Amino acid sequence: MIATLLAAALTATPGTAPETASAATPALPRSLADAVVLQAAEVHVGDGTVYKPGVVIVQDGRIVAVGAGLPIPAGGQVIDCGAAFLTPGLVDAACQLGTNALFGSAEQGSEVIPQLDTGDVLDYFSLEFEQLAADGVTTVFVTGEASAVISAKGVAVKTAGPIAERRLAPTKPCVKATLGAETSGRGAFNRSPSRFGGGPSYAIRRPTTRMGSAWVFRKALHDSIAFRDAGRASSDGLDPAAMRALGDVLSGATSLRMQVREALDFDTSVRLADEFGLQFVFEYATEAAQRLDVIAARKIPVIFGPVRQSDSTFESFESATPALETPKLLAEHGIVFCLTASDGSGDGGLARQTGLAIRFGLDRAKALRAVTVDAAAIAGLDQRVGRLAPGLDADLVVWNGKPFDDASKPVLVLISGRPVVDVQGRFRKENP
Amino acid sequence: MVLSSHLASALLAAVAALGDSAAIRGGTIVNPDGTRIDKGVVVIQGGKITAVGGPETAIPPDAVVHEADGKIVFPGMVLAHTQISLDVANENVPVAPFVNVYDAIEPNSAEFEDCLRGAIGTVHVIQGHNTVIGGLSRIVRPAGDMVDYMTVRPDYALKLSITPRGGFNRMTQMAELRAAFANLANHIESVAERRFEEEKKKKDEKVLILPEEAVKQGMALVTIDDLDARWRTLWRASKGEIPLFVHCDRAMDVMHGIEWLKELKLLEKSVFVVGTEAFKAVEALKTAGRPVILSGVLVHKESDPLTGKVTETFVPKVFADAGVPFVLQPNGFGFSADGMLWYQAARCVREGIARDVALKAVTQAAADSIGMGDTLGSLAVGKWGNVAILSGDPLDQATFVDRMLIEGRLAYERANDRRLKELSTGQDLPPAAATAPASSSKN
Repeated sequence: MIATLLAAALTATPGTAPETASAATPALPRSLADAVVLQAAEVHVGDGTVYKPGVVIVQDGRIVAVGAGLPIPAGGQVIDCGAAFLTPGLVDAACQLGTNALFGSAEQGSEVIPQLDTGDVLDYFSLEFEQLAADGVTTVFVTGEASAVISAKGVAVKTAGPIAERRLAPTKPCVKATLGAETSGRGAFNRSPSRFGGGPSYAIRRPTTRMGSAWVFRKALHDSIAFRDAGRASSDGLDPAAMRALGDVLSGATSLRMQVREALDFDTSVRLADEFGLQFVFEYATEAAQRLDVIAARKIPVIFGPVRQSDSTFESFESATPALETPKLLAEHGIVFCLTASDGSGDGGLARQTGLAIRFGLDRAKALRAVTVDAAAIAGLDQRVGRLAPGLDADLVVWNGKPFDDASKPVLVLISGRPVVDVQGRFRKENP
Repeated sequence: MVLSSHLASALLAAVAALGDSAAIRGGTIVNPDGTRIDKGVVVIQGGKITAVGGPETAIPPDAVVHEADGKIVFPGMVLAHTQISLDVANENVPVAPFVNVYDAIEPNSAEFEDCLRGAIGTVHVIQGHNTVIGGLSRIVRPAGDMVDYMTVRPDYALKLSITPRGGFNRMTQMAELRAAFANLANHIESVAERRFEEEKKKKDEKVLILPEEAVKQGMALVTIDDLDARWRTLWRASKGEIPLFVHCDRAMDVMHGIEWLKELKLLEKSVFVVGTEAFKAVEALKTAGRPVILSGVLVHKESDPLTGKVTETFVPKVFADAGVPFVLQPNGFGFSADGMLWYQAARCVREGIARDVALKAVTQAAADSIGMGDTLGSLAVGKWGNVAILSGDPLDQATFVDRMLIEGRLAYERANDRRLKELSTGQDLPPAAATAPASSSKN
């Protein structure tokens, strides 16, 4: 439908003004006179297709056409990006920024909170979103935080633009479970009083070991099955709403992520998933290089990263070490994966993580794919974002050099067709 | 992290036998000023560069030839200010010019290996900022298993901080700095008086003048041997014999620092190691005309106290725009983005600084700041043969150091870099993989 509309609309070529169109021309559903046309030396669609040079036509916040040598609709505003590179806006599928729910202010009432929604604590005014937009990250999936074994639902959000338009609905809601030491580690920030030793304790109901994390997960699912099949209440006092939410995870109506860092937690995840017949995505997956075969054999999608010199406070609960070539190895094993910067931005942000993956052997086209097409698909957002294709949101990044190069940065970022970063004032010049 | 360095033996040999000749042939020679020579030849004899030219350049018959076809040949970068390899960066005693990093440099530190991986051929190890007057620094090669063999310049510079150390205010800091030099002056005077009296005694003469006059006349008699170790360094520094690396975190510290150093007549011996906010004092630093070493954090963030609005300034751009040469440091250290020195230069290019300025900030300007501008910082006849053979452009993130020569001797080969392989793949390699023979050939 969009394609035919476009074919008709594009019959106006440069130099043929629309006002000369004869009365015999069938009335177009929509004129492209108010379209924005971006031209750049290289247009990278995200799936590996590159147009040199290329054109992207944007209207009403959506992409209407992408290609090489497209006829320029008469009346459209042309933004000539010259020698620059144009890519889709980047997508971080496991972001930990932009909410005040993280780290220490999380729900402390229960280890199992899939009925809660991270969207309720989004801070749209957070400067972190501004930084993400400046980094070229236009969509983030803010994942549930890791102090609960089964955390709140994540939320997908654009990093700039009118607040009413920022949230996106993924194809399925998504709940994250965290295995390993992080849950008890973060829980320790809500320590028992020092006169009782100050450590994570039975009194504050945290699992204090890896075994404890796995048990909390297992027990919650058993309780949810009993609730679903027999209406039985949880002996742990699990909220019926939580058990209903887990019922959706069991039925597959809600997708599941497993946050793992150390190799052994990959194995535990697989075991738990087998016990309950669950499909899931690995998040962070720090030591994925140690479990390539099992990930590939089971076709488990991976959200990998971040790779940092020193771990953030989040990661410091584990002693996992990422192999620097992990993205390359994931690609070689045919594993569907994307990259995340987690709570990093700027020099620790997604573009730099992608650059690091390229440095350590990941093909450039695959690297771009990992932070656009595949990130959107893994987050269930590919019907809206992640590639330059007609009908998708006009989230674009124009780079002043090769994308992800250390010497390049985004100079123009569009979200739903609106310039949210415009370092060189291209839109200002065009729109005085 | 402490590793037993398998790079050590190569450099030990380098120091022992600098008479050897080496040549790098076939690569594109790139100098920080932008000049390039395709299929170039660099000849190094006795540790120094004796020829830089095109393919016709004569190679001595005894030279070890390093083939560099398809590679970029670039001068070894200079890390002009770092605390790497020191287990603790700061001495607990606020005025401690008598300590020396000589006693603390860990040759087996993995950070020295990272230097070679990052094309750094020269490292100035100096104590941290959290001090009033810190200890003596040392310029070293980032390879070797004993500090003595690594040393390029012993006891090179002294660290001073105008910015107050943790828990103190600026007035106290300045008072302690002034007191340190005043105490030194008092001590030297008492030594002068004593020496005058001693000389008189030797000649069996009586001291018939006032103490003030005795001090004046005794001054000429004072030598370094009359001072104990506590005073020697500071005395030499006060006479301008030791460069001062002056830490000024804030712009106000730069202003106070310049003023005070002028009083001491030591401005000409100073190098400014500044924090991000010091960009506001760029004009004063320009007038001072002394080297400026920037913090590894390159962006200054400041929030308006009333509106909360955050302003960000890319600090090197301010210096570049003002025409003030600056030196870059990594932020942290290691393989991740801004832990690499070249990454910092790439960031400068990203933010619109001319490429040659960015490259000089990790080579020539850095060498100048440690007083080795005639020796290091570019590939030119007469300079030292510190050469990085790179797989690509020095600012391209996909570039790796293929081989690193220090004073003409091979100090690093990526092909034999076992640790990098392990970090890359996450797999432990058998030790045997580390000791393959070097891929250089006799001409």
